[in-house]
Formats: sequence, C-alpha cells, structure tokens
Amino acid sequence: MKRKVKHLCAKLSMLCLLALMYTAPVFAQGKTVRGTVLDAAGEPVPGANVIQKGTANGVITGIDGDFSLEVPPGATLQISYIGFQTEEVAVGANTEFTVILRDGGVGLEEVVVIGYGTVRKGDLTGAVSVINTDDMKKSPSASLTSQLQGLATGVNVRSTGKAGEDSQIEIRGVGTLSNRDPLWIIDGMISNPGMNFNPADIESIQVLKDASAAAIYGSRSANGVIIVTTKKGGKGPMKIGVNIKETLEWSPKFDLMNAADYRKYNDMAYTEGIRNGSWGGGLQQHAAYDTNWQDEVFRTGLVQDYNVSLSGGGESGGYFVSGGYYKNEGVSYGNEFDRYSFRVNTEGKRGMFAFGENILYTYTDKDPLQTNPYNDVVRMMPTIPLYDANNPGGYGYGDANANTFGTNPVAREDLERQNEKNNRLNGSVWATFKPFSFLYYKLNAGMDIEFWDRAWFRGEGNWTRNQEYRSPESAKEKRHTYTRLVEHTLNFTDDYGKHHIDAVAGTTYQTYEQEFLTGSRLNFPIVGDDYLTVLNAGQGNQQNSNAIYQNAMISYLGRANYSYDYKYYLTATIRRDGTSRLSQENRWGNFPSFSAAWRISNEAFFRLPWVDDLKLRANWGRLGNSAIGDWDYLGTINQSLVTVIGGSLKPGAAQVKMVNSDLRWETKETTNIGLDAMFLGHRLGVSAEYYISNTKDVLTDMPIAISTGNQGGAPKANAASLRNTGFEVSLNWRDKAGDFNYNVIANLTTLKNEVTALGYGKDVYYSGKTKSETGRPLSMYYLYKTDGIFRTQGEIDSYVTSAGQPIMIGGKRPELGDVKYIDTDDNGDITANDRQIVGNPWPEVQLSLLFNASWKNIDLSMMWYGQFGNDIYNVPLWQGRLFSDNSNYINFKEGEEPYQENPNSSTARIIYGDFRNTYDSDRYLENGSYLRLKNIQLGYTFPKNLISPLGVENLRLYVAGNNLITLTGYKGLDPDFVNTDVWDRGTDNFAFPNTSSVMFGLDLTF
Amino acid sequence: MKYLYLALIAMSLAFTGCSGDLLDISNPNEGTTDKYWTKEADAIAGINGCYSALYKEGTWMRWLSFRYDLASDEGYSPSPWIELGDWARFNYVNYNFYEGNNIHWEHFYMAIYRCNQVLKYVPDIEMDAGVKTQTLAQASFLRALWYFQINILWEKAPLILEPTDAGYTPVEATEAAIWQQIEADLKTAVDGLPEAWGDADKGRATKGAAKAFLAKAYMQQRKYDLAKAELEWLTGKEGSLYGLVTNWMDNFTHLNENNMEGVFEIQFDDANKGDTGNNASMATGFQRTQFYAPGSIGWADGKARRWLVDEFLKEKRTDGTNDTRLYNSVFYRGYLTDFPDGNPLYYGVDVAAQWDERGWGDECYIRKYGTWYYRDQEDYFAPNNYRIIRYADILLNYAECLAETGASISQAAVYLDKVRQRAGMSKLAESVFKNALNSKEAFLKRLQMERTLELCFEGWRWADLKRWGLLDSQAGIDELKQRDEDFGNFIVGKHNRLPVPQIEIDNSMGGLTQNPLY
Repeated sequence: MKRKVKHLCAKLSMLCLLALMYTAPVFAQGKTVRGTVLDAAGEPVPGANVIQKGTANGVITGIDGDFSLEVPPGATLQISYIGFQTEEVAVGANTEFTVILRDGGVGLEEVVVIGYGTVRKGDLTGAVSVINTDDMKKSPSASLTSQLQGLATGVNVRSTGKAGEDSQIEIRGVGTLSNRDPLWIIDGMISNPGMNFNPADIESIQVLKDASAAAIYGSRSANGVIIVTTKKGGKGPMKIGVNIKETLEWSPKFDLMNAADYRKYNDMAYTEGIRNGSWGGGLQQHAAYDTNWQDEVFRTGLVQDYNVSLSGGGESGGYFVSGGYYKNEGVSYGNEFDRYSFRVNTEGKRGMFAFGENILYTYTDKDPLQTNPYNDVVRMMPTIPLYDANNPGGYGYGDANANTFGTNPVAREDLERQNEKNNRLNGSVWATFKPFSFLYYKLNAGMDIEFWDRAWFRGEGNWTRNQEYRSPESAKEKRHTYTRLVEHTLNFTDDYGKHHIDAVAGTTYQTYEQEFLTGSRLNFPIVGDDYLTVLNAGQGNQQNSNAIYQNAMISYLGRANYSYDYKYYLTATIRRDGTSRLSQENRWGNFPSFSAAWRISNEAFFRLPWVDDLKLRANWGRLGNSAIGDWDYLGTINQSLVTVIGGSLKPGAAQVKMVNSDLRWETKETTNIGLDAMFLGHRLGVSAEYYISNTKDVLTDMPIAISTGNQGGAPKANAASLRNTGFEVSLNWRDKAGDFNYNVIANLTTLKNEVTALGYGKDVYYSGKTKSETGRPLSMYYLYKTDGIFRTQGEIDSYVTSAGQPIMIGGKRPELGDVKYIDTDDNGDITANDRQIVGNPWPEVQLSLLFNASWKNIDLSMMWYGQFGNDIYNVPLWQGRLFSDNSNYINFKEGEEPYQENPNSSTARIIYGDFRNTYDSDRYLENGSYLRLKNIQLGYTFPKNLISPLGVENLRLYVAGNNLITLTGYKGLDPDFVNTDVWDRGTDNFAFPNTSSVMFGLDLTF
Repeated sequence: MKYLYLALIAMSLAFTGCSGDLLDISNPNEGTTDKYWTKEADAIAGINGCYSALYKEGTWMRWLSFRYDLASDEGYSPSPWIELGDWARFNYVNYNFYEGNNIHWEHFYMAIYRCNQVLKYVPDIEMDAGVKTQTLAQASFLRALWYFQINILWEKAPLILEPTDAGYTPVEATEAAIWQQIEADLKTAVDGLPEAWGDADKGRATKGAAKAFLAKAYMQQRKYDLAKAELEWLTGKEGSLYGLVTNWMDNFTHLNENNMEGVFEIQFDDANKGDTGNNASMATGFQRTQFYAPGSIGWADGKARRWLVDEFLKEKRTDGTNDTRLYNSVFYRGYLTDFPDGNPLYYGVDVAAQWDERGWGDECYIRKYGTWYYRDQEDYFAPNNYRIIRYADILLNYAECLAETGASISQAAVYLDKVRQRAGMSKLAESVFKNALNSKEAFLKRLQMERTLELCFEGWRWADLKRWGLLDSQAGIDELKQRDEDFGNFIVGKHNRLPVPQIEIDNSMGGLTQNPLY
C-alpha cells in the first residue's frame, strides 16, 4: 500500500509537469526587456541582480553585464549589486536599457535568496548573511564549507587538514548537540555539498541565521540554513572561463627531540623510576638510530585545481557548463584525494512557462589515512628505525628497549591499503508556470544519488608492538544513497498603492534511502610478489553484512510578507513538518515565526543627513531538529548474537541497545533584535544583532549509566536544554582616493551558552574531563587544580589539610619536584573529589577582519580570523611530557628542563612508571585565543588594451598565502581544530592541524 | 482557458497528493521489541543471547584473568603498557581505566541486562512448560554468575533485577544483599536445571553447575555447612556424572571438552574470526592465551611467580618424577631438566636452542590454557574451553568445607587425596606434608597450597585469598608479599576490592559511593 501511495505522489507530480508543458505556449504575455549593467567606468557588471520591483521575478546579469527579463507593462526594474547603490528604472515603453551603477550602496540593496523566494536585503526582517563569493575563492580548499570561514558573522568553520575530508561548520554556536550541520540548499535541493561539490560553480551564498529567516525550512533548520545558488548562463555568445590554482601545502610540526636528547631524558626518567621504586628494571638499551618520524611522514603536498566553464545563452534560455579537476597530494604519507566534476545548468523559457535544471556529477577517489600520524610521530621514539627486517612485514615499531605502543605510520599506511571511490549525481529540475502577473507556480524535483565503493586490504605484517596474528584480510564495501525531493510552491505578489503583499505556500516531500553491502574474507595468497586481493581469492571466513537506512519527511509551508511604503515590514511564516524518524504520536511539528521591521530613515521626521539608511528589526521564531537515526525511537532485537552450544554456533537474541521511544522534536526558539544602517554617503555600513535562542529537548546521545547494560552507543534522548545569547556586529567601510579603492570589513560575534536543563532529570552531568551543570556553559573543564611544584622541603611539610593532616598523592607523600595538587575537599587524599571547574572550552568572541584594496590593475586582500577567551586541553603536550610511560618528548625550551636538571623550572620531576605528575589537571589547559592571517592575496589584472587584441576579455594572475601568520599562546600545533564530541569540545586530542599554503592562480575569460 | 484550468487542477492535486502514510517506514534491519518474546524460539534465542555475553573482553575471555590470576600472588603483569601492569599491582590512579576496571562493570551489566530480559519476558510466553522452566533457570544461573563476579571485584554495586530504562540512575546495594540475590537465583537454577544436557545442548548450565556456584557463594560468606550440603550432591555423583579425567591436560585443551570433570565451561571456538561486537561474525575464541604466551609468540603481559615452580618441586610423584602439573602450568627456563620427557618444542620453537635468542630470560610464563600443543602462534581465537569450575575444584572445596565444619581432618583429606593421586602424588598422609594432618589449621593451610598447585591460573585464587582472610590483615599481606612483591602496594581495607568506576559514581546523583580509602 505504501509503495502505491508513493507512486501516486510521483505520478501526480509528473502529471502536473506534463500539464504545464502542454499549456505553456498558449499564454505568453508581458514583454521582454533587455539591457546591460555597467559600472561608473563603463565596465560590465556581471552577477548583478535585476528584478521587477516588489516581486520575486528577476535575473542575474551575464558575464558582460547583460540581462533579459520578462515584465508586465508599467513595471519598475530594480538593479543591485554588492558594492553599488541600487538603481531603479521604470520600464515604460522602452525595451532596451543601459544601467550605470554607482559605487557605494553596500549590500543593503542587493537581492537575497531567502528560501522559496527572494527579498531585497534592505527589506530583510531576519538575520541573513550574504557571502562574498570572491572572498571564498582565495582559499585553496576543495570544500565549500572550509572556504566560508570568517566570511560572515556567526559562522564558524573549523578544518580538519586531511586531504579529502570536509570541514565542520557551526552557525551561532552550538544550538543542537546531536548534529550541528546547518541545512544546505543547493539550487533548491536539500544536499550537503561535502567534498563532492565544486565551489568554483557558485554564484551566490546566503546564510539564514535566525528563526524568522530560516523558519520556512522549519525542521532541520535549527542550525541555520545555507542557500547556495550556482552559476547560470547570460545572454550572448559563449564565454569561456578558465581558472587555474596551483598550491603548495604543508603541515605544522611538533618540536620533538632527536635521539640524543630523547636518550638523555629517557635515561633520566628511568633513573628516577629506579630510585623511586616505580621501575624494577634497568635503563633501556637504546639503539643507535635517530629517526625523524615527522620527516618520514609529513611532506609538502601539491594541490592542483583546474576549472573551465562555458556559458552563454539567447533570448529564451541560457547555459552554464563547467568541468573541474582537483587533486590534493596530501601533507602526510598515505593520504591523497582527487576530484573530477562536471556541471550543466540550463534554463529556458517561453511565455508563462520556464524551466531549468542544475546537474552536477562528481567522481572522487580518496586514499584515506589509516592512522593519526600526529599522534604516531609523538609516540614513536627516534631510536626506532623506520624499517626492521626482523619484524613481520619489515617495519620498525619498537621493542623491549624502545618500549612504546605507538604506531609506525608508514608501516600502517603501507600494510593497510584503502581506497574510496564515490560517484555522485546531484541536482534539480524545476519548472515555473505564471498564468497571472501576481501568481506563479513552481515545481522543483531534486535528486542526489551516490554510489560509494570502498576497498580495504591488510597484508601480513605489523605496525605496532603486540599485534596479534591476523591472516591477510580483504574487505569490500558498497553504499548506495538515494535522496529525492519534490516541491510544489505557489508564489503570490501584488501592490495596492503603497501596500505590498507577497506570499508563498507549498508542500515538499523528501525521501532518503541508503543501503550498505559489504563482504570480507581472510587468508589471501601471494602470487608473484604481491597478494591477490579480490574477494574470490580469499580462502576462508567469508563474511558479509547488509543494512538499509530510510527516512522521509513531508512538509507544508507558507509565508506572507506585508510592507507599507518601504517603511514598515511584517512577515509571518509557518511550516509543518512530519518525519518518519519519530513515532506516530510525536511525528508532526509546527514551526511558526513572526518578524517586523521599521525603516526609520524613510520617515518624514527623520532628518540626519549623515545617516543614509536606518532600519530596526525584531523577530521571534521556532525551528526544529530531528536529525537523528532513522529508527532511534524503536527498540530492536539484535538477532545476530552468536553463542557456542553443543560444539557449534547457535543464534542468540537480545535487545542490545536501549531506546527512548517517546523522542520528540527538538525545538529552538530564537528572539532576534537587530539594526541595519548606512552612514556617510553609503561609505559606512553597520549591521548589528542581539539574539537569544532557547533550545529545548535537544536530541543528543548523552551517555547513560553503564550499569543499565546498554551497548552499541548511548540512546538518543530529548536530553538537554540550552540557551545561547550573543551580539553580532558587522562594520563595512568602503572608500576611494583617486585610483585607490579600499574596503574594510570587521565581523564580530560574541557567544555565550548556558545549560538550562539536562537529560534524565539530572542537573549535573560528567563526561571524561568535563562537567555540565544547569546555569553554566556546557562541558566546562573539571580537572585537578594545581599550584606549581614543590621546590622546598618546607613546601612539602606545609602540604597538609586545615587540620594539619599530611596530604597524600596516590597514597604517597610528594617529593621535591612533584606537582602540587589542591586538596579541594580537605580530606588529606588527592582523589576524584578534588576536581574543580578550571576552564571553559567556549570562545567568548570571534572576530574576522577583511581588507580589500585595489590600485589600478593591482589588488590586494587579507582576511584575519580569530577567536578569544576559550581554553584548550593540550593532549599532545601531555603525551610529549609523559615520562611515566614511553613516547618521544617535546623539546624543553631553555628554563623548562625537568626538575632534576633545573630546580627552578616549571616542569615537574620526571619519573618512569609513576603517574603522580601526569594527572589530568589544569597544567595541560591553555588559553586557546588566537588571531590568524587566514589568507592574503595579491593579484594583477592585465589591462584590457593589452589583451583585447588577443580575444581575451579578462586575465588576472595572483598569488595567495594561507595560514601564514598565527598569533597565539597555545603550545599545540593549531588552536583552530575540530573536536566533534560536544562533551569534550575544547580538547586537542591530536586533532589534525590546518595546513599552511602558498597558492598561484590564473583567471582567464575569453 | 481549458488548459489553464487543467494546469490549476493538476497543481491543486499535487498539493494534496502526499499523505502522512508515507512516513510509516518500518525498520528492515532488525525486528522491534514489541514483536519479540512471543514464542518458544524467542525464549531459546534469548537465553542463547545470555550465553553470548561470555564472549566479551571484560569476562574470562581476556581481562578477568588479570584481576583474578595476575593481581593474586600466582601471577603478575610486567606489561610494557605501564597502566595495564599497574592494575595488576594495586596501583590504581585513574578509576575509569577501561581495561582494568570499567570494562568488567560494563560487560557484567550487559550480561545481566540480557538475563533480566529473559527473566522478565519469557514467563509470559506461551510455550512448553519444561523448556520455559529450564530457560528461566539458565537465566537465573547466569545472572548469579555475574553478580558473583561483581561481589568479588567491588563488594557493592547496583542490584538490577529487571531491564531498566535509559534514564536509570544507579543505586548501590550491599555485598550481603547481592549475596542474598545470588543465593536466590542459584536456588531457582538448581530447581529448574537438568542434571545433564544432550549433546546438542552441551555447554548449558546444569543443576550441578548451579549447586557448585551456590556452594562457592556460601563459602565466600563462610557459610561452610550450607556449602558442604550443596557440594555433597556433586561428590555423590562421582562416577556417574562427575569425576577426574585421567589425563590432567584434558582440562585445558580443545581435545576433550565437556568431559566428566567439567562442571561449567565457557564454550570457546575458532569458527568465527570477527571482533567482539554483537554481530554474526563475532569472535567466540579465548583471547588471554595471546596475552600470556612468551614474547615473539604472545605478549607476556601476564607471567607466573617463581615460587609456584619452587613449590611444585618440593614434592615428587610416587614414581619419583616431578609433578607434571608444573610442566603443564608454568613455562620456565630449565623445565626440560625437571621434565626430561617434556616437549622440547614450545609453539614449534626449539626451546633449548632459542631460549636466549627469544629473550625469554629467567621469567616464568603461564603455560596453562596455551595452545602450544597444536600450533605455532597464538591469536584471538583459541578454541579451548575455559573451565570456570571443574570437579577437582569441587573436591578441594568439599575438603575445605569438611575441615571448616568440624569433620575429621582425615575425612577431609580423602577428597584432597583424590586430586593429589590423580596427579601421581601420594596421599597426603604419605607425603612430605603429612604434618598437615595434625590440625585443622595445618590442614587448611596446606589446602591453600594444594589448591594453587591444582588450580593456578584458573581464576579462583583471588576469591580464595579473600575467603581465607589473607587480605584482611597485614600478616596475611606480609605472607603474600613473600610470594609476590606487588603486595607491597596493598593497603589493607582498600585494595581488597576495586574502586567503583568514577564516571558511574559521578553520574549517579549520590546513588553510588566510592569504596573505602579510594
């Protein structure tokens, strides 16, 4: 029955489309106007917005500034582009226009896509950021997400530094704990761009940050919405664009000891251990090797990024076709990523009927890392050789005299062969039908299909001490993913005198299906000098597995905008979502929002000549989130358990993982107050917001008591409520002096989060190194507090409780050079009860500074990004200073030597076999504030008179540097890292650092 | 205009075309709990799932032997993983150390959760009454088995008797309350379990196994008379149901499993070679062998204390040779001198030629349960059953109960002698230790040694030390320190039990408290 209903739904959509196609030719009316948009210097302005005023009817100018738009008689055209003042032109009897845009209108006039419609930025009543896509291009990254860092207030992006792996993005801090990804809408299709998307194809990006802006997307928009529009063809002959980027990329490195220093301090720690009684053996008999593991693993990688685009069009349509190739060699051994992409965007129209499609095909090929080399290079000692013929597989990995459980990263990358291939076809087809000037209907059908293949093989051989014997093993995995979306919307827009009304109503239906199929075998033969790895060559232990994931969502949406005389604005939005991921009782959620704005500067009483524009905004809205597993509300029986009875395997069954069957929508209610203003002849733009968002019933996998017996991961629960508050301020200054044009943008965001409730009725929740408690920020560091080290016997003697009882550390009295832990509970023993809140993982302020300048043909830009006020727990420092067990050590700077060598240093006594000086304490907590030059770029555009004779329209060469300067007190590799565990968010657990790079680029259009 | 209407109709149809039924998507991967526990097959699979919990690293499969054998005076851990070794020598810093502490808690309660599901849902299934009784009895037996380990390790813990929900907050129960529940569950098991199973069901708990555990539960509480009564049932079945196998090694290999000496065995097997997850390819093999075998074969993370070798060598067999239980328990330099007929190959290695080359030094290694007898390497899939209780243990326990409850020492010695004589030793009365028959105290002291000679590295020494009170006084600790220097770290009143996992206390809202002195 269900299948039938689905078919019916698809059929109706198809019927509708057919009907439209059939009727389309009959009702052509209105007239087509054409024109060219130029800047003050007479240069064409591509990408400008041309819309019929007060409607959503509009186009974007082509590469030579041309446009063509069908409008009713008497319409007014509104032409806008970032950095220019908006112009309005009455159509009248003319059909041909040349529009000159004047510098100065910073953004407020441009048209913003807000989901199922557009609006002038000046008329916005919600918080929306428009990304300058030119700034994005300065990044050498292959991923759209990572290119967004610092380009909008409230948007924070953290990179992983791994080739072929996407960055993490957060809008306005952590709103939801389970899934912090915003909702991505690419050309109307719900679709996460990931690594399978070519950012060079992007025309514009809007970030919807608050509830009123995002409410039309209802559920899944609690983390904000990012709307991406790809390029379209303009009218005229074919344009060919070529972009080439060549980047040299490298990783930061630890300051690790060489063999001589390692031996010295290792012997010192062992000697102390023997003296201390914590080590019963002798010193390690070090081998004579001096391996620099970082040199063996890290390398300068070449990143190549080539894009070619063809675009053009005629009266009734346009096309944009692009191809891209991206190759990242990776900055560490065994990591590579290649991407091929191909896009076709076309559109056509006739009369009332228009259609278009945006299709992207990508193929990626990734050699992923098998190990974390940043951890490995610290744990492998320099006295271990890279290769050792005595070991299975032939690699060095330590022994009784180089005692570590570190992994030889080269061995692991060589012995474990993995390759991932992904084919993705992604895009949408749309059709609009406009029977009346005030009404149009749009059908949007999207799809996103992925075929992912993984091949993995491990030959015989080891990469670390104490690996059990495992016969050669091969595994293959296939994953097919299908996402489908069908949307129907009706848009209405009309003006009655000074009253303007527009509205949209619609339905959407989305399905998702993913299926895994894997197989593996053991015992693969060697033929010639290599293994056969195809599964059929495996001689034993055939295994397979298969799983299916499915979900669906149905939504009804509506929005109405009312404005009066460009002074007063009211918007109401409602979305009703039903998801298959919640039980029938809790499946549907309603997500309303309301907003209002007042443009004071248009009031007659408002007479401040230095204020060009001033608008106040306020809104409230509720968003939802149900981004959980497909059946998290359903308890299931695992019937694949196995036991041996009567000498053979017998099936067993049990509920293994617990569930909360009453899971509800997570909701987020946001109140937002803001103002937008332009001053001093449109030279200074100010945008400011204050927001309070209350997230309730957060869907999270908060761990539960171990004694429940639960396995397979913590169940999802409506388990916490959070409040986020903050200011966002964006300042934009634009001016020129002669040929020198410049523009400075400062974005400042403050963040503050507070737990208002925790799951399962708790008001305190502990997780590893952190404590969360109502009334405080989430996941505060809860560790031993220390007070330096004991330097005199007097200090040891006075290390007593208030009652005079000597304080014991691990059952022993401290000695000179030991760490002094605070006995918080004053009971004479340092125990878990002595932990205190000692740090906050959340930054208080995020700041970005953008500077763009040009002088004649030379342009220069910089982007600085920083965050301030957070603490980082530095695990690499803990590991690199762990003398109680073995690893390599981080070099001691002068004055930092261990107590045995330098009694005045802050480094404690180093002891092998004794953990007393390595407790998880505030000694490893560091200020994570930083300010970084994310990128700097210098470009040269060849003069037209030089290149025009060659048939070249535009030629620009540039050089850019990324992450070249970082100002920070943090001692780890990179204060800007990703930790996806919200309960341990500020911990640098050998996170992959951002790479640094120098990029050479060429943009060519002809 | 006709077409316009047509289009508008199509549009309106499209708007209403998608119904809420589309959101009813059932899980195609696993059946849901509401449809389970309805038929006999569900009950059988459910009880099998309870046994499946034995194949987890927190049990005897791997780490539990570190708690029982290596923390005791029989063995020690020289693991190069310092923290792992610290947890076998009473040096606990991080109370959440997974391999030393939390993994046991996690896997015991996972197993209890499965038993609780059977005990809660199977009673309502319409099925054969006999099968139902046996199913519930097995679940009761296994639940008691796990609470037994909990009491040995922590001496207090949550006592959970029904499946909890995810929001459960732990509340602690006393050691006595947990013993009481263990007794109740084992009595249910005794009543409901058959004396023996057919071949197809070999490995399931029997009435004898339940009585054996009940006896051990009584003994740990020093209720020797109650224990004696249960053990008598087993000794009464000697020759019919139980007995000592002739070849002592048959207790430790995969060659003669579930024999008359096995009272309760974990059925290990090497058919599956997956990980220890909850899936059809999950590992069902014995893993500790990999951890105990000497370097270059295994990891020598657990070794034997030298005094065991010396103790074995104090007494010859009646034929004048050394006690072969030593040869089969401990692997040490010079064993070929003590046992000229011993195998000169160990995991295929020519011991005489390669001992020094392999760097095996003067350490003593644990040979018992190793698979050296049929292959050249270890892995995570050793197929030999782990005998949690075997009849020799029953006989020694019975001798102890007799002595403790005032029976004559010579009567108690009868049962000890069965064990001694099977190993080729003389009766105690005819041995160099005959003075042990002079008093109850001397006999019990000798029994402590006899138990370790027979049962070393079989997981009972830690419980024995606790029962004998050796951990309760500094004098006891001093005795143990003579044999195992790690007891130098032992603080009486503290290290008798493990610290409760810190994260469990942290999130118990006061329901759990830490053990004394931690």
